[in-house]
Amino acid sequence: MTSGSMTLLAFTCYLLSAVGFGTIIFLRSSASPESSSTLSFGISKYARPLLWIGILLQFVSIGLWCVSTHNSPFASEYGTLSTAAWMIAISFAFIDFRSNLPVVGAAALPVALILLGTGMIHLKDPIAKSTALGGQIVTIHVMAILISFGLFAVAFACAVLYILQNKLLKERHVRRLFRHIPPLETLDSVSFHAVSFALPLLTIGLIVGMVHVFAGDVPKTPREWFMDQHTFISLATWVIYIFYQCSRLLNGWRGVRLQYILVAGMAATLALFAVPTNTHHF
Amino acid sequence: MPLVLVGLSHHNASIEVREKLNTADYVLPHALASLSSALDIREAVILSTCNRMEVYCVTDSSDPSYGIKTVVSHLSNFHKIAEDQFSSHLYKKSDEAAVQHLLRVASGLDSLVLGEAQILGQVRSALRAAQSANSAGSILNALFQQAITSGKRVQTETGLGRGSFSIGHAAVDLARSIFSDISHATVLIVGAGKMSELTLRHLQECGVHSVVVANRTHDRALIMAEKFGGRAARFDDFLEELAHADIVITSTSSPHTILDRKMLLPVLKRRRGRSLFIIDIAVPRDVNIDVDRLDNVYLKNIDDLQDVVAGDANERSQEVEISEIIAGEESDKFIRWLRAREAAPLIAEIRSHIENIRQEELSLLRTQLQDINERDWQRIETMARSLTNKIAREPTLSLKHAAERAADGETALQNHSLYSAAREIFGLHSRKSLDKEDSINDPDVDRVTEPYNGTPDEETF
Repeated sequence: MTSGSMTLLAFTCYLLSAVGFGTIIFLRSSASPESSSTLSFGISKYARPLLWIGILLQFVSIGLWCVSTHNSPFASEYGTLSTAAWMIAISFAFIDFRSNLPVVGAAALPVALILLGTGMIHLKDPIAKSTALGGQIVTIHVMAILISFGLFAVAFACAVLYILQNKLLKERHVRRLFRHIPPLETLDSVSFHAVSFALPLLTIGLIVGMVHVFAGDVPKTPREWFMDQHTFISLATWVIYIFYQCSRLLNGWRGVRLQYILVAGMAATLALFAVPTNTHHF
Repeated sequence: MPLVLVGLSHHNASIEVREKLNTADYVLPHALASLSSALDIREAVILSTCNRMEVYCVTDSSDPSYGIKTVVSHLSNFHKIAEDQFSSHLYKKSDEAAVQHLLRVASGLDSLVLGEAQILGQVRSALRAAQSANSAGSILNALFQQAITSGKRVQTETGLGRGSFSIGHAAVDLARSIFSDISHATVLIVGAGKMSELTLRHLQECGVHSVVVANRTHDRALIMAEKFGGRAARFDDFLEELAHADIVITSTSSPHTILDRKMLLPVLKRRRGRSLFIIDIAVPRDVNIDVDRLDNVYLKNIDDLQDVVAGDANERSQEVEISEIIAGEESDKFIRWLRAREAAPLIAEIRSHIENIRQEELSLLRTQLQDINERDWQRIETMARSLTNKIAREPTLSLKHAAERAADGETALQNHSLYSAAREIFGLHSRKSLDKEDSINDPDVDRVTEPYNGTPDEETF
């Protein structure tokens, strides 16, 4: 079995898992609670095992790719995006394991699916031949950033659910949907903790990257690196999350407006994969 | 004498309409006096709660539409609102439909919170207020007593109220969607009313420890705070308390709002985005709706909680079914009693006719038996009374049953063949009819007019 087919299987598992977690919100709130709750229970009880199977399949898939190409996964766009998706899945699985928040998966796993799907499109792309990519410092740089992305995605999922819950609670006639979304305070707390772990990792990742640039181990000059859109968006992402964290810690701000910052942070994170770059391979 | 009902409830009128027609306790005597003085109205009871406003009347006119028109006109004049502003929301019922409606209401089957027990107390209070105002006569007294009986039966014989949702449940349910652990939430009660007490009791059952009570009458705040292990605050300081509270329950009897967006904005700045959940269970509302537009403020009034509690109706459909049967049974009992009342004047006439014969015959016999001793005369009198009672018993029962069975559209017993036959047999057609009110004062007739109490008919006489 190839890495590509394993990734496809992992993608399917994540997709089914996301649908399963989504049914917890929607099916249990439908007009016929008895029948719908049985159905949603039936679907949702497979969501967690499917998630773990997906994580395992992706681990094997990334491993197979590394063995077959004799390269670090970060030597290709497929490998990097696949690892980013894997980190999101692991981050969510960890938080679900700790806090029992399956519904968060309904919003977090679609982000993983977008990254994994995009990665699969680039499966056949040529592998970057730069020797710098094989170094430990780049591995630390990319891994720290990707782990932080995974946690940011979970924070984003919590923020989306917060905004949805806030909207439902603001409606004149409250629908039963709200009962299956975690409390606002819990979502706010989980996203804050996720960012609290992710931000230092992102900071480490960016610092390691800068050290790598200033050490002269890269072909371009530091000026070229800092003028690059990719670097600019990375720093903008960092500023967004720093602003979020300072607002929470220093000003004690909470509430719905802060959740929009997390959504903006995720948008900036995803933009990193979309903007053209002269310094990074992808 | 038709029985009419004119009202509106949470089913068909929003809180904006209901609060305009709400009759507060302190104006209820005045409202009842005003209604009773209307030309057609013989009896009146007003049931005004946060979810409904209903006027029950017994009218003089045989056409219920006249009574309904009088009540609608009274509502418009008393509350100083044009009829077109509320008339489309009104339901108008008469006779059996009105009876069935009240019994469903008292049983909690028409409540916002299905099976809630509070409505029973409110029905009782409505009757008491009408009794104090002398506006409740024999029919409405009996009707409301029957409604209370029905409500009690539903409470004791079904699980409709047990484990059911209440405003407190709905408040907790919503609070749990906002706060991770409501036991750490601070609850501020503004207005130490019964509703807020019930809601607070439920919140405390769910672990809430920190309670602050603010009330215009500070002594009441102190009593409530002591009862719930909380702290009393001056009513004027409630904005200050809002800065620290997580859940606010407002239930004052203020005719105007006590909190709006402008007042809350400076408080919110101090809260730094902490969620504030306001439950406004007052009618008229205490909190202006514009507050809900503020970020991190969740305002729910009594109507908004409807959907939170509505879902549970499906889950308790069996209990609803049993409760409907009970309300139906009690409703039938009252309707039978009401119909039986139609036979009362004729029964009184028959009894009076027989009694006259007895008296005449005894007088005649007394003149013939001059030397009879007093003991023997007592025996003769007892025998004569027993004889007349036995003669009157069967016709009385037959007339009562005929009245109970009187079909719709033939509700007047006078249309029944038995009625004319009885008059013919007892030779009453030539006699002057007794005044109806006099007949009701007859102790024998009173038995006919007593509300059905579940005992066999034979024992009633």
